[in-house]
Amino acid sequence: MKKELNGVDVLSFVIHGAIGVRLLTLPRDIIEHANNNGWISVLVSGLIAFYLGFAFYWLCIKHPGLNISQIVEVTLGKLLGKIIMVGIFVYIILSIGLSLRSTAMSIKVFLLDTTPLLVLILIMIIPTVYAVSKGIKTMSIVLDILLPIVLLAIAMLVGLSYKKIEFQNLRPVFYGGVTPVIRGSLNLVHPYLGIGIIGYIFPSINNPKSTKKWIFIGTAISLAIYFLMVILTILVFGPEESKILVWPTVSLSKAIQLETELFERLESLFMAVWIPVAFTTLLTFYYSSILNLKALFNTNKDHLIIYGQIPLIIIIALFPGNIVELYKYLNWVNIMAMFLTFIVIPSMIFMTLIRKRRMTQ
Amino acid sequence: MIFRKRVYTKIIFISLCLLMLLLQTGCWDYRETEDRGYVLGIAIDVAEPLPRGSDDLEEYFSEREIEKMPLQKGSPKYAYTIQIPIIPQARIKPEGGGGGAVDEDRAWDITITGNSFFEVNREFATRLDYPAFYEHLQVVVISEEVAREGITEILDFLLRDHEIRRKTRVFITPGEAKAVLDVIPRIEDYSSLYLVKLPRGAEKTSRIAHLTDLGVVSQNIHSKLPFTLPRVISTKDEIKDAGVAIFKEDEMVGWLGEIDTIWAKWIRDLAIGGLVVVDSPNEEGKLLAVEIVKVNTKVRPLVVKDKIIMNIDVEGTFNIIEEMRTGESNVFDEEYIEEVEELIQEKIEREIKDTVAFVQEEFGVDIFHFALAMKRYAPREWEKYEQEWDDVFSNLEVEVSVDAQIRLVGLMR
Amino acid sequence: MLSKILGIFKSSKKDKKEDDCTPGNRLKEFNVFSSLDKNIEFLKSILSKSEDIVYRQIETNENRYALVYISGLVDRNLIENQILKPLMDLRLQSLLTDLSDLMDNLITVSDISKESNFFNLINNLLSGETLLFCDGISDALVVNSKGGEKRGIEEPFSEQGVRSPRESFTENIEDNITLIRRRIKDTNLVVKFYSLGERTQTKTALIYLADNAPEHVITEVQERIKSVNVEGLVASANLEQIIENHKWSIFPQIMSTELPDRVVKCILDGRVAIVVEGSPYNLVVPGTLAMFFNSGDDYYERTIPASLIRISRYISFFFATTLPAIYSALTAYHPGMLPTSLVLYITGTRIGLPLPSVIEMFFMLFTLEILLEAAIRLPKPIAQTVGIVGGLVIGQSAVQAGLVSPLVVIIISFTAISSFTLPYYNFAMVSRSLRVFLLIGASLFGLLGVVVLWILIIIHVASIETFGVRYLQDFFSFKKEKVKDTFLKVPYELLGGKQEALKDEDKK
Repeated sequence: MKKELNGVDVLSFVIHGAIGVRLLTLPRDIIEHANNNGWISVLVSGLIAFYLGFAFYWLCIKHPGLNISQIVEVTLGKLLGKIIMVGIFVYIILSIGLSLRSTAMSIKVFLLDTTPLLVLILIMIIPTVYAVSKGIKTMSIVLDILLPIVLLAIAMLVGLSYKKIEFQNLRPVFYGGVTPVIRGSLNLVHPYLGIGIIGYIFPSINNPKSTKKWIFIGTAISLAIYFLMVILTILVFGPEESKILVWPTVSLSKAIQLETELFERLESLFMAVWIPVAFTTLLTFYYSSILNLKALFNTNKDHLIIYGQIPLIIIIALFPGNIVELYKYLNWVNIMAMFLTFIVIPSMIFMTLIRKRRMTQ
Repeated sequence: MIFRKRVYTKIIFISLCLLMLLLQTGCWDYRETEDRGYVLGIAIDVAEPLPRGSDDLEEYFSEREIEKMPLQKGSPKYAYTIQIPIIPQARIKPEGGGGGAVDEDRAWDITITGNSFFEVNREFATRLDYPAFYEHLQVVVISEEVAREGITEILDFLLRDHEIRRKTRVFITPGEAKAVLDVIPRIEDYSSLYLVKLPRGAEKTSRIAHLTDLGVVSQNIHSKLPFTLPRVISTKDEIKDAGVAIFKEDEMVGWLGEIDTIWAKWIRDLAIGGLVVVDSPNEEGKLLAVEIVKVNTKVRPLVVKDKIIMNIDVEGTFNIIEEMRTGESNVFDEEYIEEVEELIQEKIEREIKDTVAFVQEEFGVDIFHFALAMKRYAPREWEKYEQEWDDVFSNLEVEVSVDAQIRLVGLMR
Repeated sequence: MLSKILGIFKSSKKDKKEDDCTPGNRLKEFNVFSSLDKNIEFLKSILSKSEDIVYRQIETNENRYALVYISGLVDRNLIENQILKPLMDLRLQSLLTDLSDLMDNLITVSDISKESNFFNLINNLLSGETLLFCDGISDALVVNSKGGEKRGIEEPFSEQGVRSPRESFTENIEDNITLIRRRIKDTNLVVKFYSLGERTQTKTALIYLADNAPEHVITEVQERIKSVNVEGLVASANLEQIIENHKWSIFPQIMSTELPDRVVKCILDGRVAIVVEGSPYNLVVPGTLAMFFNSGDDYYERTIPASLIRISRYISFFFATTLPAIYSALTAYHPGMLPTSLVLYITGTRIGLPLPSVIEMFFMLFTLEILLEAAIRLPKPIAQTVGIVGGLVIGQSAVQAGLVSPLVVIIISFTAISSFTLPYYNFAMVSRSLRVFLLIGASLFGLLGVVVLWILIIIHVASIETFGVRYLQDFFSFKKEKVKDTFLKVPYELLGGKQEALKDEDKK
């Protein structure tokens, strides 16, 4: 693969991969477990985030030129590796399909009411496929351009909610035990696994060592964004109300009141700014899926792989009947993510260490 | 240059996609602005007797039949009125279309009786030629009768629907809610827009409750806290907003007068404007008014054995605004200022204690959100008393300490 | 059937294999004959279709000569004074024995060469040079006598500036190169000539700084130019379209300008300039997006005002493309986003209008396009009427007649004005096209359509690669230096090092 990216490009990949569609509903999931200490959950989950970032970096440095799927095969053996790659494939496809469905539903609720789901899904798929078919350098540029928009959306929320914040809502602090906090933080594994995209783009970076700094910064920024979201929800709504809202982040933008009456229904504006965010997440996952399949089947036929996944994704996106089912499936995906994070990756690291030791002997 | 096969397939694929999209009769959500009925305000009354608003008896009879309609389940409990702006359709346009004649009706209030608001909402389609559109809903006015029976039923639709913003204000009126909407204010076209801007006066006086939109109501209901909603009274062409209605869980239990509202707001740390009037220290019978610049209240619970004492700390900054005196007293005198500050402190202490006692006796409802203070600062004790908080509240002791500071004195000594 | 439809995408050139019909190629086989009469006969037979070729035969005591030239293309003064006069001077006759003598001693013209192949001779003749044949010698002299009427150096036609120099390129390639040479006096300046186009043999020059421009760009440009295979190359625009990477894209990838100072700045940045005979617009390759947003004037203004103006240019580009779309999307799909009083006002203006708001917008947009096209082609006296007609009659009266709402007219006018803040006309065309697409997207899917279309546009722009350099070269890979010349404009000496940006791609 041509080495077209610089170290600094990793930054936007990390942030876009980590900030996903789950951001819209995440505060509720966390606060359900951890009540008003949800913000501590996010901080705790930061450990997971940094662990993931470092793990991917380390694995890719030790196996230069290979993407993460190929590393799986190399470290865990052919058979087990292929099985795990199939697992990764299922995980990614489910992620894409369900995220797509989630995005389409939130668009349907907040922006366009009567447009059929299929149409919304198709609309989101077309730019994704287009971007992926153009190659990684194009993707990197697009992500770089869209990065300020993500930050702008978050900044908008933070800046404008300022008036409605009641710091008292944070109390009582640390009351309620540690377990709920940790349970809350486990909700964040699925989004953070999006950092795994760097595992797929590492072969295209031309000075891998310099990415360390950027991965760190990117992870820190994503962590900060989730943190801000959760803490803002708590501050503005209080823990009780947050548990009731289905889409707390969007309701947050509903609650904002501008002094001047420039924009009324701010949540529509927020949703409009949100679409690029959803799109970039889809993009990063899609690209991972393509590389994963390529490594799984050892082919180089781009066309079939890129376009062949589309029907599969559409079927998955249309599959859940209603939003309740959607969340059930998303929880499954989260469990799969936990499996990947806590079992697969440590074993890969372990095997790599053993190998190194063997080789140095 | 001849295209390679790959580009052909790309073009075909994209055009098929687009064709598929468009063939499904595109533009689903497209609707012209003049084709939507912007609902500016909702009024909720009881169904029997039918609310008249400001209508003449004669005309009103003819509408009666239309307002009742067969329901899918149950018998009508509420009468819902929506206010729609009238934008004249049939007129020849001169340069740029002017406003209507002064006496013309600028808003149309139509009423339908029913149970579920959603059903009634859809029934409006039988009388309106364009669909009702709630994204610009400004106010919800509820009559006292309805409020006394609980408002969760009514408000659920408003909170769940994605169209309605959480900033919609809620008001309670002792009379007919429809009458409030029917008022044609002299300086505004639609009473809903007028109503929604009225609480801005909270910056001037604390008799108006200002944080009372749907979001706050929802928050309080879900946290199981009692709350208050502002009271509006209407005459033929005027609306007055002062005082509050007290809600416990979701039923109204009573009114709180204007003066009591002021002090209740002080305790809740919501006072953003207003004044305090005390006796002038110099002259008998004359008054002195100070304007509130900033008031901060902190409520902390203190649990001593089995008694709970609420410490209310008030810190306020004031300006001397009006001092009715005839003689030559010197405002710049330090002693004078201290005297005034003392007076203010005493007055506030007294008033707050009185108000708390009044509410404790009269209603026994914790509108001051002492429960929150307990939850935040004494969570263990809160768990003990959570269940019987209402009884506990009625027996609370309150310690008030006030710190008043005078900043400016105006242009004259 | 499908292949028929797709046939429009194929080029309609015939195969350029060994085509014996073209006289040009066959000529290569012939060299100059010794006999003067035979030469003249041969020339006359080849060029029988042109009656404006002058065959001037001279007889002296020693020899016979013939001058062949095309009357409109040559400087008659030069021929008469510097060729004919010495040739016919009796005193010098005896010195002549050879063509070289003629060349070295007699003919007082600065640029002479010897040539023996008819192919080159005829090309030179058709370019305005004079051929001198001598009886008994199988060589001919080619005398540079190019002249004829041409336009002088005038003020620029479409690129105005306040403080920039007012010389602009003309159609004559030598004048253009002169304008560039006056500004760059460096031995590293490379000027390479090509003749493109079968029938037109248009002279084209490649100009760049050898130590500044990146290798791969130079090689790429040279290859592309060498592979140009058309019948006629009339203007630089044709060349632009032939050598572009992405021909079907809306966005221009090669900059064309008629200001020499702009071209010189680009050459100093490491780009390659292409000068084409017959067109006052010269090309600069590779053209990145930032170049189209930077007007030459920026470099002559102060930092802070220029930076603010640049930022406002980006914003106005955004408005010029998106404003009608946003208006349509907001009023028809999401009126909840506008303040209540505004919505009620818009509703008030729309009551009684016959057209749906989308059709209205399209109609006004179409009217705008018509006005713009008409304004270019109207003769000068009527041009002023267009302003009156367009503004008053169409705008005002349409509102009064109740066809469109006043808000739409305001929006369209604002859009029109913002689209002309861009310094390059061919980029203004971009915003006009994008406007239509965005409006279609907005009318189908509201705000979602606008956002998704913008994403598609961004993806497309991000994927454009011209001559090995990315179109969005100056925008991505967050580095501090990139901001220096795009959104802001720093004082002149800090701008150096731009060529490093182009060289970045070298690290492969």
